[in-house]
Amino acid sequence: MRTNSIQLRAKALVYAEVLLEACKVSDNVFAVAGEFDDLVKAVRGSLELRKALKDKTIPLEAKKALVTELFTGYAPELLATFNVMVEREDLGVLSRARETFNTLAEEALNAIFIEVTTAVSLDDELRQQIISKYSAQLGCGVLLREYVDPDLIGGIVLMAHGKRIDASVTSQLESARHVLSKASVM
Amino acid sequence: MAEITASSIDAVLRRQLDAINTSVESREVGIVSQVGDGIARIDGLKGAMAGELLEFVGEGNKLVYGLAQNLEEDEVGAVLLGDLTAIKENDQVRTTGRIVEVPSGKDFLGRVVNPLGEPIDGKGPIEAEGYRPVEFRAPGVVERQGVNEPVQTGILAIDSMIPIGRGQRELIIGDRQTGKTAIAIDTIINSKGKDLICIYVAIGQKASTVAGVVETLERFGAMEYTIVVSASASDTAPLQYIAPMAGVAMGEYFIYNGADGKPASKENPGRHVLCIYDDLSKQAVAYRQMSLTLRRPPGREAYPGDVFYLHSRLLERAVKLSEKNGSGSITALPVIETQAGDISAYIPTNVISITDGQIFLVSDLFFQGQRPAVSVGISVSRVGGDAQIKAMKQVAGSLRLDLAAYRELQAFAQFGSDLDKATQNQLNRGARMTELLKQGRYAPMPVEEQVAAIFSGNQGFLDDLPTETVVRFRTELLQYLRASKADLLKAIAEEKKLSDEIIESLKLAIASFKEMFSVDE
Repeated sequence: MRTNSIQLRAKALVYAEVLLEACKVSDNVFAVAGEFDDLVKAVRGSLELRKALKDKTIPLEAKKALVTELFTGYAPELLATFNVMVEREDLGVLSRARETFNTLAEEALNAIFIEVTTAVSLDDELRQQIISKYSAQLGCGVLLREYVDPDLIGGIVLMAHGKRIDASVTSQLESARHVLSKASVM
Repeated sequence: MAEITASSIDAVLRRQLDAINTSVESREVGIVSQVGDGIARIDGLKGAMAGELLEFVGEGNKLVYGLAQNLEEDEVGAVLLGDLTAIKENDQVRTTGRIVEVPSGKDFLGRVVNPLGEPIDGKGPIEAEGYRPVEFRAPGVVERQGVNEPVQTGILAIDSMIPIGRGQRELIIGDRQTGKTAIAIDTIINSKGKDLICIYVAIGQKASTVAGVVETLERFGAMEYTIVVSASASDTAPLQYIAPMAGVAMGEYFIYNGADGKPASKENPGRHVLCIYDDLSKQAVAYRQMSLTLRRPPGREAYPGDVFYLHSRLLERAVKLSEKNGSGSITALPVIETQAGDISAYIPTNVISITDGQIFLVSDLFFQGQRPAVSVGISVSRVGGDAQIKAMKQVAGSLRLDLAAYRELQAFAQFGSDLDKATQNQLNRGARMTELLKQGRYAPMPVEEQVAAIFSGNQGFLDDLPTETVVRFRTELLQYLRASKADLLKAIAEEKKLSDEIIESLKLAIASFKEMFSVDE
């Protein structure tokens, strides 16, 4: 159980604010938010990477080179911020910094970031329908991050702020399977 | 069995299809940020409840369940209840809005299940009549009544001096290999035909030991009214942690529902349940492991601060419900293993203070051949006396004090050789009464036979017998009574008290048996 949460929160806020200011200048706040999510997932999903970045015997320059190589194509502002985290051994606040950045970015853009997953790519008409529906409901702008997952078969899965709305064919079939598997003729 | 017709299939299909929920599913989700040692740390899930059941979506959409434990500012610490290897970082976790529940019902009787209620005896699936939450608030004061019915263990030393009532919590405590489980098993065997459903919860035991217990219960026909819940040593700490709570939850189904499966009431009485937790020391160790890996601060003996609450809330679920609530009961027999007789360790002191009494088993007595090795001096039952039948009270009322006086004299007599007649008599009586309490395993005695046996000792019929023949005398006396004086035993069982008439008949019967009894085998 962490006892220094105030300190960690403050650190995360500093990283998020600095990154946001840098992104505002280059006008790529939404894109960086997506990249930040991917970066956190990548770090979280690889024990070797985490070990390498925390290893004090590996020179800082080598770590930076590793980050640059692994995350080619990512915004330089994000990579610079991440490198500072590595240098200052602040990887523990990475996840919190990402969350704070997302909150600040949504405030700055006056929009909600929504992850949309569909079985096939969204067409312009459907995309526009989703945006207008949720904009009206939420009273602010909506920015979509689109993913394709053929396993959904059809329908749509929306995710924002830790809430997941599942209207996919797969989940409907799963629900039907669950009900029918408990069926009894007696 | 009802006939299956095309129309019944059609009706069921229609009903099931109507039940399919076609609405959109909305849930809170988080992401696993760290996993290991059966513990997962989850980013997000800000709305998760303490103790909520979480659904982990592993590789290939495999669902693994977990239990939310630590609710922190930006993450949740959860324990995993299923396949630990299926979960990795970045996997999705969903809240379910419900706490862990276990299935229960009549079909569970005779079965061996894991703490999630899944059968592990290879006898196929079990159809549940209902589900009960693993964590459940114990009934309050107004929902209860005092303990007033006995649980007969069939063990002379216990039923006479440390009586247990339905709804009581009686601790069985002692070192390893002193016969703790034997008492529990004998009690289950003796419960046959006594309207008592038994639940034996094995925590952290070897699977072979559990198999042995099941085999014994089957041999004595006791499995038909018993559920065995097993979280063996190879199961994960979270499963061992929830095992006793899962066991009592299965039992609660029977006390809160009548025999027809409908809620219990005055007209539809609930049933009586005996829950044996074998043992809570291992549950505490499992909880300590969970808590330390969840990074909770360690306290005394590295147990977390709320280990007392863990046991008190479990044992508080033992209950004798009021008439209005169906008069059902849950009797709890927790087992605690001590190390070298140290009852001042953390967990033993905690559980001693929670329960309504304890049965102490002592290694020294065990190796002296006094079995069950119950130390009568330090064993106590705080409420069971109210549930004891009057006949037993009449014969065993002063037994505890007599034996205490005997032990004191025995220690004193070791120093001197010349003893007056009264002291010698007291020593003789004490030695024979102690011998009388010896009892083999799987040989429970009905209460009327216990009364007759103690009566023979109280009335001095044993005083002139050699000590080593006392057990044989008792066995043959009871055989004689069963064969020739069945009416007398029946009268004791039915009247539940020793009337002057019964006392006289019993004296005559014992005297006539004694004339036939040969000291030499």
